Amino acid sequence: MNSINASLLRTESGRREFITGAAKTFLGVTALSHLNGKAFAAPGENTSTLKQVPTARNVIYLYMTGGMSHLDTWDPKPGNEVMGLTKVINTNADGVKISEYLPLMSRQMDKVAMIRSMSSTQGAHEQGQYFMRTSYTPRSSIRHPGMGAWLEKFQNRGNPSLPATVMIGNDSRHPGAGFFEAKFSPLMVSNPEAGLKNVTRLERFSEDQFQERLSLSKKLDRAFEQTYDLSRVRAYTDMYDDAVKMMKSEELKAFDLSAEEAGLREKYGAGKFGQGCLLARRLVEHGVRFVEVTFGSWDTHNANFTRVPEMCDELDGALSTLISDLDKRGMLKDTLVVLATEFGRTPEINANDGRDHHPKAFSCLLAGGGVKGGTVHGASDERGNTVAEGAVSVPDFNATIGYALGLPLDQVLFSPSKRPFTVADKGKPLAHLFA
Amino acid sequence: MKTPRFTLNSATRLKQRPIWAVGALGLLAWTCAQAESIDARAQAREIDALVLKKLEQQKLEPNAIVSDDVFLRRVYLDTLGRIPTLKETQAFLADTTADKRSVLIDTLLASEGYTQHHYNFWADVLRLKSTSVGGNQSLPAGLAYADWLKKRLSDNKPYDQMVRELLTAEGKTYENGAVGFYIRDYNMQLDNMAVTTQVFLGTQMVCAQCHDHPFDKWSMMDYYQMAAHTYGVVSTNGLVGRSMDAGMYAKKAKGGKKAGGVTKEDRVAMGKAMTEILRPLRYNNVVRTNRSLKLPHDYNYDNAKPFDVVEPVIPAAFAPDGKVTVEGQAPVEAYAQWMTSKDNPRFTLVIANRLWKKVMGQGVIEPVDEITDSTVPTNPALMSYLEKLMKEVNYDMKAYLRVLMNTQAYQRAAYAKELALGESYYFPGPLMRRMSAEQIWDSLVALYRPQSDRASMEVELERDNLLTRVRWMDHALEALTDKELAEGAKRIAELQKKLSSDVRQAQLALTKAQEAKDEAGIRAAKRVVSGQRTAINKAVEDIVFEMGYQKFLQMAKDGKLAEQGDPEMAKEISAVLKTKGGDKLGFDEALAAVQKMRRSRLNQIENAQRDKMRENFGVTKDNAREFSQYALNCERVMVRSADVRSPAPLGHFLREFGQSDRELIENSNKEATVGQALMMLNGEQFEDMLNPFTVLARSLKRAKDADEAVDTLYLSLLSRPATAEEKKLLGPVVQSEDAGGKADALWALINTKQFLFIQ
Repeated sequence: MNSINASLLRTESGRREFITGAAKTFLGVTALSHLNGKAFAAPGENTSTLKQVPTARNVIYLYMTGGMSHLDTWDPKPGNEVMGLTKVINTNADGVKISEYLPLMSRQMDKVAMIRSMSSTQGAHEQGQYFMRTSYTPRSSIRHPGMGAWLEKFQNRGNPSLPATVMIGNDSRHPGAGFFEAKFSPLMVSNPEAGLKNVTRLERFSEDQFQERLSLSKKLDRAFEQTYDLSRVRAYTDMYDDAVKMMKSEELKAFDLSAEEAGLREKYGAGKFGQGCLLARRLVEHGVRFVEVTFGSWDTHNANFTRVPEMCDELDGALSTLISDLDKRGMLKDTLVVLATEFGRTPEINANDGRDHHPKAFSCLLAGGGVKGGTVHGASDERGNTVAEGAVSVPDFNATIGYALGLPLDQVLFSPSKRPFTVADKGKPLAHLFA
Repeated sequence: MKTPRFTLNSATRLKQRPIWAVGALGLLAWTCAQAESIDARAQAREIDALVLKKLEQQKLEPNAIVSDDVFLRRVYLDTLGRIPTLKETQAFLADTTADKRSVLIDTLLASEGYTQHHYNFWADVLRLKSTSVGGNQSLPAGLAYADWLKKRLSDNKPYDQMVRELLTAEGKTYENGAVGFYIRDYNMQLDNMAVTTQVFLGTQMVCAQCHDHPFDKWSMMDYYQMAAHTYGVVSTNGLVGRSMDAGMYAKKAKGGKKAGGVTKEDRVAMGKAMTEILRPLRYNNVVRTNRSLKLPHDYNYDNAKPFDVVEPVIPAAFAPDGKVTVEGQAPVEAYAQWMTSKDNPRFTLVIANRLWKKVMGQGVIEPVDEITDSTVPTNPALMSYLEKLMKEVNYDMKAYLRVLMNTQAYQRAAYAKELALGESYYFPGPLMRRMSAEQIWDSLVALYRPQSDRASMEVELERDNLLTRVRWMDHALEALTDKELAEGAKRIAELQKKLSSDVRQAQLALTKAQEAKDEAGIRAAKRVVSGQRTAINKAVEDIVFEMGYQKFLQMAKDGKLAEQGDPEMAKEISAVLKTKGGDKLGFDEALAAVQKMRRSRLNQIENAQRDKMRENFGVTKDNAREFSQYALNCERVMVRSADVRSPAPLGHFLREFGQSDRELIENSNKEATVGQALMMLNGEQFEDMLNPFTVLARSLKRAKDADEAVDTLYLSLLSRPATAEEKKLLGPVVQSEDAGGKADALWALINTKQFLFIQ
């Protein structure tokens, strides 16, 4: 299952990592990685400075599509004219103020590490989203893998009968597995309440009839299978077997939100995003290691001061409930909650009372998964226009996620076109954010 | 002249067309095809000799020639991209003439399904997307590109000409859909070059974008010199070469900073207003500029410095005399000629090999697009013959495919062993392949509706409407003088200012209303806010595009409409003017009127088709609802994959079965997934198939007894009669209870693996 692939290791750091990989495999440590947290320290580990013992096992990655206004959410500038109609409130983290549109989150900030010094090189949505999710800028000649695919490439699935990565939302532009094999692709769930498609048998069949017809189907294939005893044919036998197993699997319950208390479902929020966050928690509980939930559009070129509060309302309920729910269940310590977006928005308020794209400065959040809460890294200038201190690039941000997961940040993997890539494209992790 | 001895969907369609459509030209085409196919068989024999010689050298035996039924299913899937229908299968199997395979190949190559299937093939190679950039804003460009490709395939445009049209594409989307080739890689000219050379020359230069290629001969300088040919080709909005400053600010003041007494704020506001005006035309135009390409800041080789301007030169490894551009010629023209020339060392090789692979499942050279100087084909003599053949037929892809499909090599049993990655293959037969996602979907479509090779008229309508809108807007903008345009922009800017202050007021009102829990107040305020975007879009149309449109109306009244230069648009406006009150319509209403006329024409056709079906199927009151559902599905859901957005949305059947995401060249895959199995077992497609009016359901209904029903299922799905054993297995199921039994049998058969594979 572990995908340390000798033929892909062509560089110095690659060779070094191979030792780690080999040790894991030969000592059978890979199997142990099913255990939580620090148990997956292995002989040969830490031979690279960019690798550490993981503090997080899972990621719930909340993606704010469209470019979230940093000024009207996480990085307000009290008293400055750039604020327009947005006001500021205190939080339960010392000296940390956020926008009044996030009152519930103000009571959770002691668990959050805020990064107020993000900047991106990409000012258009598609390119910016791609950069944020892959650490690389888009090219026509290659498709880079998303973070979830990298995680599965380096480490095992948490639950062999569920996918490693699930993507909740309806974003067809997600980079998915990139140049990795298709099996690293995330499972897409467009409606969290509808759950998985096609997992219940057709109404026409009883369970017995279903089995009977299925075995008939197999009999009809016997001659064909004998003539063409090929792996690509056998793959379908396996997938049909897996599909039938899945239809009966207990794990399907992970997708069933109706098993949750009505009160809690309401607290998460009735919208797709709130329910998506709840589904994310259930999936992580069942061993899915990387869940992304998208929410937006935050592209407030018009009417910024009406649309941001509306969006915040939904975000505030969902995010604060997610953090406290994970915390109550003891899951927050090994689940890293990430809030990311492609860029911020301009301090200038435009002709349509909106804000335009602003990659020069914006904010992202981390919570749980070993992150020190109540902290703020970096700052934008007094207008929220540029990064004033502690600049964090998009690769740096992703390297921080990789660092938390214990991914080998300097291990080079080659694409089928033989080009070298690393998780988070040589970004430098913000190691000091971790306890 | 011979007549076709079995019914083909396209032939049925021809019968419904006006007689002129099958007149003299049709006869001529038929006769030519006959002559060509005799030639083709001779050439096929030469290929077979080369294949057999190699097999003998390798001490390998060729596979046996396949039976008619295996050949039939294979050739339909490879040519039309779907399985044959029950009728087509029965007609072919019953035919006893000796040359029926060759005749079938000719017929299929001439069919509409050829376009559908080969469009899918090329859309995967070219990464053709319906919305390549900027979401729905680039939809017209994507649809125009797809349409261009389909027309070229159905005209059987020679491959070299087709590629030249792509490389030299310029102009508006609605006039030349080929511009989609450049809009696809909007703002990524360097990448576009890497993709272009990979697709058409089979070489991977991409590493050299950042450094000398580690495993191939390309240097970074080679890359930049090559890219310099197309770097000036850029996609842009409609306003090219317009001096907006002059129009907008009356006169440019000295020093240039404060133009015409306009303040910086006004200037910014005008700029934003212009952005709004141009938004709908953003991805509509490709132009050639003389923008020069410079080396990047980190260029680190001795032969030049960072930021040096790079001249267009073909790398020495490809052309000894690298400077192909002659005085006064656009570099991109020279580049296109060089690339598609018969003398180009790779161009012919790549397409000859690519189409061989399409038919045989494996190239004589693998991979097809990573050819280096040390590449050796598994059968060099065969490869050079194929290259020669491609040149002889002058890049006529149908003629080339006709030869390949007439070979014994193609008509042999599929290879039943595993082929390891990198293992040499000598073609004892084609490889056994899983159907592509599109082939599976299109086969389901063929089981569902008659004449399934026909393109969707609903999709055509949507495309025409979108492109008409772009066409009108673009011309309306062109019709304005700089001054008028500036005037329009000024008015938009003023409106934006006013709307913005309205919105601000509404926001304050909203806060108050929320505090007072005044629901009506909240709603009223929210309406103002949510209406802002619509108001701007509407204003742009009302002010700017309306201004341009009124000019056309004036021309029409003066009888000078033809002078505005676009006959298509002149025709459309004239049609609107002929309607009652048509001369009083504004821009948007006139557009809507054109669309309405199209809609009603299509409704007439669809209604006529439905009436005919109702009559043929004997629809009664009892099953009228099922019929309506069926007819609607035929028109809008069960359309060929070539008519589905490219790529299909995530979760669509096509994507689940591995349709390319259109991000990378040939990015489709045929890997088995659990999702596919679940879809076949429990998906809605199966229930849809049970509608009593589907082609399959009607055939099953006609079956007189269990034996015949089982045969019908096998002939419809697998293009062969059932064996005795299969009849023994399925017979009792079919008989168990009327319709339910047949449906169960269908479910069991459609869930076999053999359904998904091409033997």
